[in-house]
Amino acid sequence: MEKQQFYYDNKVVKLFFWATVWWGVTALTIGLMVAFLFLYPNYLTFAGDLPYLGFGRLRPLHTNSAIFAFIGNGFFLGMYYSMQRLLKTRMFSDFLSRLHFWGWQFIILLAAITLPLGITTSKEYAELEWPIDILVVLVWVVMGINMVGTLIKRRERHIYVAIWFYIATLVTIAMLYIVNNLELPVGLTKSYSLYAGVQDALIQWWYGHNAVAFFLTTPILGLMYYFVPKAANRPVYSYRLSIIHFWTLIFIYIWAGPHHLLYSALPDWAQNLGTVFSVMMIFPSWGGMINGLLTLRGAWDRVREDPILKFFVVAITGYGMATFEGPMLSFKNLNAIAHFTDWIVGHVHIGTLAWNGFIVSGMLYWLAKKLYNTELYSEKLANYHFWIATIGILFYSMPLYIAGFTQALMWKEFDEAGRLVYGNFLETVTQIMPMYAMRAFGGTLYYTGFLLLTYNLVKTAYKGQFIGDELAEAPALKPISGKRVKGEPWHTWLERRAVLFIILAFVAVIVGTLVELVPMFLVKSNIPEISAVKPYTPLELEGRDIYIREGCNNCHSQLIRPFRSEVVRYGDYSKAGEYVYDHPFLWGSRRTGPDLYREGDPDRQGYKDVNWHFSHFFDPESTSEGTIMPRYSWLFKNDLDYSKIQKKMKTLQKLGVPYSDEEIAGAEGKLKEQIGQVMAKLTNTEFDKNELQNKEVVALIAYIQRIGTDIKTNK
Amino acid sequence: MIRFLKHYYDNAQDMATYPVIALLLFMLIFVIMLVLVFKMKKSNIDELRHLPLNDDVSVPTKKSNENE
Repeated sequence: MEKQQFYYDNKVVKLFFWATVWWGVTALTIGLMVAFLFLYPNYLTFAGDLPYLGFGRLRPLHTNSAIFAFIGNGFFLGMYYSMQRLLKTRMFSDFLSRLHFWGWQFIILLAAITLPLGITTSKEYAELEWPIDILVVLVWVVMGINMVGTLIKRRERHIYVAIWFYIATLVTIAMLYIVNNLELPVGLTKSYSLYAGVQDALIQWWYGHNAVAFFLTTPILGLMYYFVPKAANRPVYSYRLSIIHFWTLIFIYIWAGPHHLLYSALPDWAQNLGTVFSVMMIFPSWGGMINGLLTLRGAWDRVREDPILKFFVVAITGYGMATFEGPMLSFKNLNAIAHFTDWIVGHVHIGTLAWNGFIVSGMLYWLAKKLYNTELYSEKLANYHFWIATIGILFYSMPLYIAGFTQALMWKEFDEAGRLVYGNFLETVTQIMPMYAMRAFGGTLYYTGFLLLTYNLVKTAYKGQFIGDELAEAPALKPISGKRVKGEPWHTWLERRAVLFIILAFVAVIVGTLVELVPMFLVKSNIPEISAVKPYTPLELEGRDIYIREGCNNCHSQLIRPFRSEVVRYGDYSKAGEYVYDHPFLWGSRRTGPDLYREGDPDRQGYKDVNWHFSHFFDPESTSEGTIMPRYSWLFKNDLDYSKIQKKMKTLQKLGVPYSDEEIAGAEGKLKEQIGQVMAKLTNTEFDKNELQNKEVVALIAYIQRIGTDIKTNK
Repeated sequence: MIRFLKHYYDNAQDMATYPVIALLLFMLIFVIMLVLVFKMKKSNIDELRHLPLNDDVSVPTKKSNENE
């Protein structure tokens, strides 16, 4: 058949190529800055004067830049390169390709500006406020149209396994992102989640878990299925296995979200469902790992010399480690130890640094050679990168595993008299400081490796010659019946029905979603009502918004699990009905500091009064020697802005929080009255009462002293 | 619609049935898929798994720098 000539669009690939390198350096730089905050808590806020780069605001910037900027651009890079080749066509629209590229970079820029400003929804990996969310959806749709258009005009009959994974990413992320980010705006930079408490938590971790699944796993698996065979010059080990891998992975993954909420106030049936499906996840995950590693059969001798294959081998091994650990951590007994500790931070970094980071690094080296039609500037340097970064991963993760166990054991240790041996939480923090130092060292190694990559790629680009529009030729597709032809296997038939394939992939991810989420919203008994639980007062609401702005939930949980060690340390365990007015929920996922849910209970062991809180926010060292809580001096300088309080209450009223119209009308008066009550308790003469009464810190303290006190019975 | 569903779910006795039904459905489809996949002929598979290796159809030419 006559061949048609066309041009591959390498220019858009080049744009994503350098964006990946740039955001890789940026995300790792911020990561390193954050790692050193554990050692020097105030070095980026100039002893508490500058709010923008404190831990609570910088940590979301790190996660967002690593996930959406670095790995996101890496996925788009590989997708734009491989889709054109696998489908033997140029992308559907140059305009949409560019719109996708610049739109995505603009979103990252907005994130880099808003997150340090404290404009955040507080929901992990979904911190961006609603106007940016809308942009994300629009850009995602642009990418989707471009992908589907390319599939339709393809010159290859069958779509290859890599593209199945790209398709799963496209449809699932769209669903996850929209559902989790439904929120009612108060203004341009502030909104409240549509869901409250337990429901919000379930939606968030359905999203959070599957953001890992469908933004950090399926796209990377797609890249693995394309670039590993390319680099090894071997076909994928088992095509049968890849079919089973794909469908089981996308079906099962979506169910596993509740394993982030074990022992929480989430109903037991949902928790158990999360555990069962998490354990099942081992099978598809390891199927994929085996398929990736065994693709290198017969090419192992080349792994010795070729740095690209080295990166891929460690990446796939890291995938195997992380996906074994994940299901293990979903067992309730192990989760009881690991949850809220640094173990989890170590676990996710095996995934990001080894699995994601190394697949992307290997791909960058491979693509540099292809795009610039030359050999690498230095293979030796790439090998150095590999070894330095591999050692960096070990130095990063191992100390955090040790830190995690240490924390868990210290938190749970009782003496013979039945008292907590380490009743002061701070002791469990200072104990693991050497581990934090080693983690920062490991991070520095990984960072150094990536800088070597950057240098190497820039030099390679200068050395080679870039061809923006690469001429190619392939015969047009002959029209063929949409029905199965005789002897055609069913999946082979499906692989040439792109649109049907997309629909089936969506069906696979929607089943788990419906079974898990719908009952949570429709069955009343899932969240027993507690009549004593009342909405926050205007001042407490303002305080809660400051808590969200400063990202306190990045270090403090608000969820006491039903363990003796937690009930003794923090107070009565948390009930689902206590969170019904929490838009959004603020359970947190890490305890760098102690849980705060019953912080305001005066009968609690270790209760802190108003004076303590003022001193502690101003200079945490003054009350807690050796603490790594940063100073919040700006809360003592900023006037409390309560101009939007009525609007905020009205928004919450629309979401079902039972504020009466009278309460909303009298909000300002009530707020001032409560300020007076807080200030009356301040007896520390070091603080000027007149000056402090209009400051933000008062609202925050009012909030912290309120949470979790509703169900307290008066003695 | 939601109101209708809400009424239905409020009266549902045992929510745990739904996950079990979904799980059984999955197992059924999984087993069928397993059988079909292993019935695939090697000749069919070989072409498909070589797709990334046979995708290099670019034409080396100096003209490549020009636009379409």
